[in-house]
Amino acid sequence: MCLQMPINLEITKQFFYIFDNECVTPTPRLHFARYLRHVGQIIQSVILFFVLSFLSSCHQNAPHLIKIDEISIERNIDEMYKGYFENDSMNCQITFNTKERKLYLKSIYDFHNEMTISLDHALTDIDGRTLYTLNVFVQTPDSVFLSFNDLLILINRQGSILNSWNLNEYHDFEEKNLSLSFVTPITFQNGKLNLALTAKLKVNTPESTKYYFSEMKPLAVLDIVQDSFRILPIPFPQVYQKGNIFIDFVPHFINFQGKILVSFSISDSLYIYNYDTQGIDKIISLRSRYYKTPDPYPFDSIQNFAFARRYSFNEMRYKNVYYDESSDCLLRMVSLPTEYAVPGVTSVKKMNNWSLIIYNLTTNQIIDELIFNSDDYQLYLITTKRGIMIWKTNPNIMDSLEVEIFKIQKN
Amino acid sequence: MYNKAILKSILLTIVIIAGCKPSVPSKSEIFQDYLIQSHNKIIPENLHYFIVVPGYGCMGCYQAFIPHLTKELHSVSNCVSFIVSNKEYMNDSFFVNYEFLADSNRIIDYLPLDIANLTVILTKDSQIQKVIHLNTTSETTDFINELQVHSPGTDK
Repeated sequence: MCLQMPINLEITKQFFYIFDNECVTPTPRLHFARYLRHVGQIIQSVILFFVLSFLSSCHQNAPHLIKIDEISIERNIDEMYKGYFENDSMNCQITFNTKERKLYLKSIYDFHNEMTISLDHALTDIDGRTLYTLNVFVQTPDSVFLSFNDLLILINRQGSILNSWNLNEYHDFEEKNLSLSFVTPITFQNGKLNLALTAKLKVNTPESTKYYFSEMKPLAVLDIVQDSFRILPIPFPQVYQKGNIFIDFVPHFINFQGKILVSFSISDSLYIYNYDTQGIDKIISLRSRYYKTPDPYPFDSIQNFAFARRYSFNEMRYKNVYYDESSDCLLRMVSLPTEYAVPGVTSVKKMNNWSLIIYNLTTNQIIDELIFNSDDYQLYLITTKRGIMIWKTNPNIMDSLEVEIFKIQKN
Repeated sequence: MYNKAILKSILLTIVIIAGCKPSVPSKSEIFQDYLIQSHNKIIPENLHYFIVVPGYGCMGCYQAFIPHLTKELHSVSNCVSFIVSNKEYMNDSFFVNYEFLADSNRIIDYLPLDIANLTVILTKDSQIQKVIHLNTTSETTDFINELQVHSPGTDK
């Protein structure tokens, strides 16, 4: 998709020819005629230059993300997207309706509801106002994990509690004053729940920031078979440990080929953690073409939410990572610096524009990075058997929205 | 003579082009337009406080400050309106004694008025006088004290 503008040697030569000729002093009688001829040549060259530039910009590489379908779905402002679930008979988007306190599993083919799980019983003691911090992972319809601050609950499709874990009962969790983060979804593989953590520590000075990011390990595993809790030895990258704050406390991670792939918001690197060796197996550098060095957040504006909102629009951050099985590609979402409030407009941007890096795991190369305007596309996608589904924005239609489905074409 | 005519023509063209440029709406005009379109009301002539509970904000701050505000401002409720776009606070009994303007489409969040967290839009003479952010306990307490001192009917 990149536009290339090759230097046209012929045009370059013509320009030099004209300038060379101007070094020769013409006789007065020839002056005007030669002047006209030169002006004509300049105009001709300029026109030729623009025509060739235009043609060369039209000659793009074949697109690597092909739209294959689209679907219109109902919009419900009470629903929060909670990921994707598939098994042999179901391919569903998971949504949580905060008003009804219910999970919905909706078919990705027509978005009709395939299953409803009431959380009334599981969330009896949880204040309705904090439900937005609920994290959900559907392993099977009869093993649904819910996480909330320091609590993990396992329920079945009837909403009955099968098991629960109070993480404060595990020494490391309680001693280090930890809390489960709701920013990054929990994942599950081989009897282990992968969890993102934050610590209940004040981070409001260079010293406290340095301490937090040097000491804190933001990922842990709860082994529900062995009943053990273990903090993983994955530190924050060095850039976080220098005493600057970037309003970014939790990495993103996914299950990846039996391992965990971890992505930090201001680091180009993706870290692949191996459970067996208990170390980092591999580091993949996946730098955005639109990389911008992160600006530290000023400590004196920590409680200034209006400033924080503007800051988030000025900054570039790596967001979620996805694995597309059908193409064997990794996708890395990048939130791009975006003009928040254009002078004279009556509405500010709702979210940052974003890009999607496509990384071919077979050749270990980035094959493309595509830009999406947030006026058209939400910063939300899921990778499914049907393809890569990206939610559209549709600001003028309040009761429905579009989802577009793409596939990756490597060549 | 000829040059002067050209000069006049150029100046006239510039004036016409400048006149055709669409005027940038003021913050008061944007807010007025929002109130008419979304709530069928206008900015009052008298001193008024629109307290916005937007979607973008700190839930801890809301939990701490909203009960405090709604309790302490009871005596001056005639000059206070709550505009609520945060869905967690959409159906709340806290606001029962106040004018309650629900904005389920979150339009207020995206007006270019620097709205984030608890935000007060102070209006008078049908114009926005200032926008105040209530991010801390001291800012909230200062605002409550100021409102109780300067509200209509207190003769101060």
